[in-house]
Amino acid sequence: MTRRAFAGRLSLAIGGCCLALGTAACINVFWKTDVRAIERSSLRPGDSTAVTSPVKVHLADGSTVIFRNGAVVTRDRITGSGQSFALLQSVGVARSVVPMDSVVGVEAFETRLLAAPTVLVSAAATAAGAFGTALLAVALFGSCPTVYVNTPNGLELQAEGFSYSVSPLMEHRDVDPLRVQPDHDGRVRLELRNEALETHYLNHIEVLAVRHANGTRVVPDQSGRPVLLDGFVPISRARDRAGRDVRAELATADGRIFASDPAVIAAARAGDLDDWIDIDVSGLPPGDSVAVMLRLRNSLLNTVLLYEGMLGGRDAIDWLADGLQHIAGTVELARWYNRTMGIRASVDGDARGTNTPSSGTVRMGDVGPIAFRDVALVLPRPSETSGFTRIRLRFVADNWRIDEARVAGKISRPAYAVLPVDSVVVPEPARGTGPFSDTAAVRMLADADDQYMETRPTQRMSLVFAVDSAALREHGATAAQSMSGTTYLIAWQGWYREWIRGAWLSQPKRDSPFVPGDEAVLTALRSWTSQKASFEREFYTSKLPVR
Amino acid sequence: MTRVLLLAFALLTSLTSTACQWGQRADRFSAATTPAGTDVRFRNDDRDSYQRAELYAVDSAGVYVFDGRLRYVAWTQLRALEVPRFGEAYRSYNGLVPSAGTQRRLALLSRFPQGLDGTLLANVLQLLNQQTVDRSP
Repeated sequence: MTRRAFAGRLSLAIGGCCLALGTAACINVFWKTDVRAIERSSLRPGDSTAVTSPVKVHLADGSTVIFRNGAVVTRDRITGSGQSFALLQSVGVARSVVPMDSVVGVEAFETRLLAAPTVLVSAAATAAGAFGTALLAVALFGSCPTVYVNTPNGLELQAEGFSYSVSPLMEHRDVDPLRVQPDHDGRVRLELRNEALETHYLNHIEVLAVRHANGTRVVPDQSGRPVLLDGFVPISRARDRAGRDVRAELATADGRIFASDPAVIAAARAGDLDDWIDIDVSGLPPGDSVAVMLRLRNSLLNTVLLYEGMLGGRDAIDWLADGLQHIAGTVELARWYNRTMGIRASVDGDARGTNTPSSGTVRMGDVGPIAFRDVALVLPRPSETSGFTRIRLRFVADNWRIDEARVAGKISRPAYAVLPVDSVVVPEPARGTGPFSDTAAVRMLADADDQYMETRPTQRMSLVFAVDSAALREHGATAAQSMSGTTYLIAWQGWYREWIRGAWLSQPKRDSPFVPGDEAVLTALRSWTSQKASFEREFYTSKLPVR
Repeated sequence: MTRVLLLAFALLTSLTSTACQWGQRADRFSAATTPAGTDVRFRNDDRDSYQRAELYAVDSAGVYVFDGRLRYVAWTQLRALEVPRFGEAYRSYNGLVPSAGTQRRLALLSRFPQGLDGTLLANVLQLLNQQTVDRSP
């Protein structure tokens, strides 16, 4: 082969490889940032040091000067294109020179490319990512990990975890009741799936087991702690904001579901976004608390708000990467979200003479649009002896789907046994043959610490929890004489990262930055209302198949 | 041959510029480009889950963090503290006072690497509308 022919073939080979990488691959580049203090004593008179990475200068009065593109540091001064920030201020003014006598510290932030992991991981990701590209491109389904339980009717979706926790700062712990029984070998088995275009970061998973008597229910309360409910009374009246009698929709968990009246949705406006349901009960046993047990899930309003609002602009990548990585931005978003979304319950009248009506209000965050969850909102009762109570459930119009509502007058905190993850079995691992027992995953899920199990779209695995019968008997012994059964609840903690869809960037829904507030919710509500049927159909049918 | 290498270099440069980026780059690190300190994740003796806060300052006995309130947490009360994406050299564990090197590295990522006391602390508290620093129990 001539030298020219060899060069031509090499060109083609390299070009082909690069083209293949470009079309199917994710090139992964790993960076590391180091920060070092620049010591004034190390600089001699007349010396200067040019730093090309960001330089941060701390002044004696607590103010800070940032030179994002670097600076020249001498023994007497620091010069460059800088921004000066007064103490605790986030808006800066231009400043080009800082005399050294006002400086208490100088830092330089330098970034290095880590070559070895960049090459190795890019090659692996390319190989793994080449399949399923067309399917992934159209998937709309999203919102967190899902848990399935084997039932006589096949695998049944029973829980979704930490919905809308789209950044590490939003890491969240959820507690979901399960309708599951141990296998013949005394182990509880759950299937964990990633069926969405998301990367899930699971920090901790355990199962709580509560033994309790016939006729009582165990569900998590608004803060995720298990409560034992007894003394249920019938609902004598349930009317929504439109004046509809909604008792039939709320009576039992039968798939007949409450949703907001179209007139209430249409009337929503900034400052008044809410729908509500007023529930009256009589005949409550004496006590200081009352609980509304709900079986509910979110509508897709929240999903529209996330996909079209928060992630709906070309700045979505930066917003996820930077905006939500910092405490101030996340706190602002969380405060708005807590004020606006979720569901609030209040009792009519002051809370036991405190003369502060707000003390009779509790709130629970959104639970996600995929799996119905049984929860209890536990409220102080206006009077310990009055059997009558009126409870208002208040929420942004069309944010919820409610299958059942029941009211209980006896609430207690049950003892429970904790079942840690005993084993994690991956039926079809990405490499090698399955099933594969993943002991590293067991360690990562064992505690709420700094170790996370990461799952990618289409992954599934079986989680096995060993039931300690002796501990269960011990925990149940004081609750009641006649224990009839055990309720299991999954307690899990983590967060997830949305994969930015191509359409979000090519057809953005907004051009200006996302601003949390009523207008953002109203925009999402209008969009959701106009495309409800088609959006629901696309969402629920575009779950990714697992392997 | 030079042409081949140039072609390969150009194509790979083009691909890398659109690549997935991992780890921390200084130009995208808020502690490098804003006056704020880095965010830390930490876990107290009295909490089951991690909390997040901005790192305000570090001294030999503990850390100042801000999560809506300015708080001081002693090293001995921290089951764990870490700076996400910065690895082992920026972690403390099990209520142990970290090495001087770790303390110095953490301080460099804080809002006030020079320390927080005296007039500066008083001014910060005033701007935060806080009378005193909250101390962990």
